[in-house]
Amino acid sequence: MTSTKTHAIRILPAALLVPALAAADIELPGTKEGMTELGRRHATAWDLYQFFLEQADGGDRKGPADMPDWSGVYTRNGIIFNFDPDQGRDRLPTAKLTPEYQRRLEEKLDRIERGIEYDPLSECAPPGHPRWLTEPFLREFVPTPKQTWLINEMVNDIRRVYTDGRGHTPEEEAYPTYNGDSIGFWDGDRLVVHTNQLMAGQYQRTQPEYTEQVETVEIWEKVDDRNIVAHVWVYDPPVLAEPWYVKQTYTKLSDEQSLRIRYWHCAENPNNVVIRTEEGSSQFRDFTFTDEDDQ
Amino acid sequence: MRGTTAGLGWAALVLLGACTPEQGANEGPAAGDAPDAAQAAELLPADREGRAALGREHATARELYDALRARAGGDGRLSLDDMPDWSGLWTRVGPPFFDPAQPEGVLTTAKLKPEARAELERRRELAAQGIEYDPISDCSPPGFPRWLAIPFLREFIVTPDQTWLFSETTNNMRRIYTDGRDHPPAEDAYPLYYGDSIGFWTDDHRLVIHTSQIQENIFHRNDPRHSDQLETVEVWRKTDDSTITADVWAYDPVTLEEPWYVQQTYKQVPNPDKSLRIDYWHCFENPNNTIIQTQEGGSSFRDFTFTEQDDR
Repeated sequence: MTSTKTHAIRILPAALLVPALAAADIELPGTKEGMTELGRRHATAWDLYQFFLEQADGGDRKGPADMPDWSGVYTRNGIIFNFDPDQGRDRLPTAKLTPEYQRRLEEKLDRIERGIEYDPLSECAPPGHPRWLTEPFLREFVPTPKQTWLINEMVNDIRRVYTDGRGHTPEEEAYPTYNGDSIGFWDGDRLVVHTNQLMAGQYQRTQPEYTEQVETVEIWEKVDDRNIVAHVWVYDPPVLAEPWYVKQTYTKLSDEQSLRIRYWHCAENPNNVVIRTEEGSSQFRDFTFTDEDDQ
Repeated sequence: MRGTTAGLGWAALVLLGACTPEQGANEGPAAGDAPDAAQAAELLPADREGRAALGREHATARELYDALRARAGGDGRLSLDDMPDWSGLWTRVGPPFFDPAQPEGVLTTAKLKPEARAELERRRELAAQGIEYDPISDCSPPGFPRWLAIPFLREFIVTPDQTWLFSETTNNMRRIYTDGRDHPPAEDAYPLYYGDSIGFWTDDHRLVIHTSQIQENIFHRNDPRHSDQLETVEVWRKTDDSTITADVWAYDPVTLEEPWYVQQTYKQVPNPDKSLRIDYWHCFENPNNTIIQTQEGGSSFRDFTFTEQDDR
């Protein structure tokens, strides 16, 4: 099994194919500002993805023996409610928002401070992408030559990244889905992903909203024995005044053999039956925590 | 929001189901991943009765698993240079019974303990009167081994140290550890929807699995119950380019008089333009899925009754 550039396959006889190249061709800036600027230089996520594809000479075609070892159980680092781990304890996110969505975020944060809050996850809905990137709990990443599975334990949430050369679903058949439609290619041991067809949602509970126009580019790579990072550029013209670059880090948990991911049955506990109130807050469905009504 | 995926899944099921249930009872010639048919034949008897007898020769699922491990030889590991290709989308074929070879009009092919048989007969009688409840109506997972028999799309993801067996229904994922680990120690073990599965590979690309720690449940809607003492052995194999079979032995000293052998068959769903993709299955998206069990054992929607006064 060898790893070869797809453009090389087009122009060279099979006998001349070069041996595996694990080195990546895409040159990424060394600073966050450089990564942000890279996003600004491209009008859309698709443009940025095509730029990376060109840098990678069409990407590598891999066999099973060429795949990076991402085995094990991982979890995300950082403050849970921040889409950008660099936000720290700041009240507002690092995103540059349009005025309308800046106002909507501040109104939302004001409501949360008054205890008025609703999160669809409370009712067992999946977080959806790109919020998927920030969720806690356990994760598995399963790269194979034609497809990579990005698995989060919570609500058995699985993203599929197709690296078999297919394009996105044609526009006439496309509709928004929780985790969108993801295609990608390999550049050495880096997985480059473009995702569209996403449903509207929120980056996290205390974060901005995103619309159905949101699209992302991600570059996933294992940076050392324990850490996998995802560089993420988010484009969403109604919400973001410019692409939002963030870096997510997922760390391998040490206790691999005894730690196993089990099925997540969200509704098993009836306390999870939470509904949204008319004022936009949350309430358990069948009991109210008063003496008379508890069941 | 689920559209074309589920529709295509059903279509594939309907198209494939009519022509293939019989394949479950007769394993075809080795092809594709199985270069050594003679070696493959040695692991298991050739016919259904022989495989059922193999189950009876062993008192427990673990004993059968250990016997197959000894018989298979080798190191039980896959090599990256010699991987089976189980990629693509698959769906189970056969009627909605745990045993696809169950003849029409037969209660079950399992040899049940009297109490388990009486329970199944009682449940069938109630179902005939329209009184029926299935936990998956309330978005519960089917659990294993029922997982083997449910419809919709599947993926089988093979890596040397672990295999993931995925079913689209409620995003069910089984994990089979083939890195040499054993089950959790008894003091850490408890019943789970999908149990705990360990396995090994044979040189001819058969995946042999032992599963324990399974929750009490039903084998399928019209099939017997099983207890949390159930354990299984499975032998998975790609028998041709578009077929994967799973030979299954279920041991349950509470409900079964003897191990229940069945063979499941999964056919690759044609996807020439790669347009068919699995999306997230959000069972609760449709409030009609909020179904509860009634006091008499039937099913009812939670918030409406289909009477003119109460509909909402």
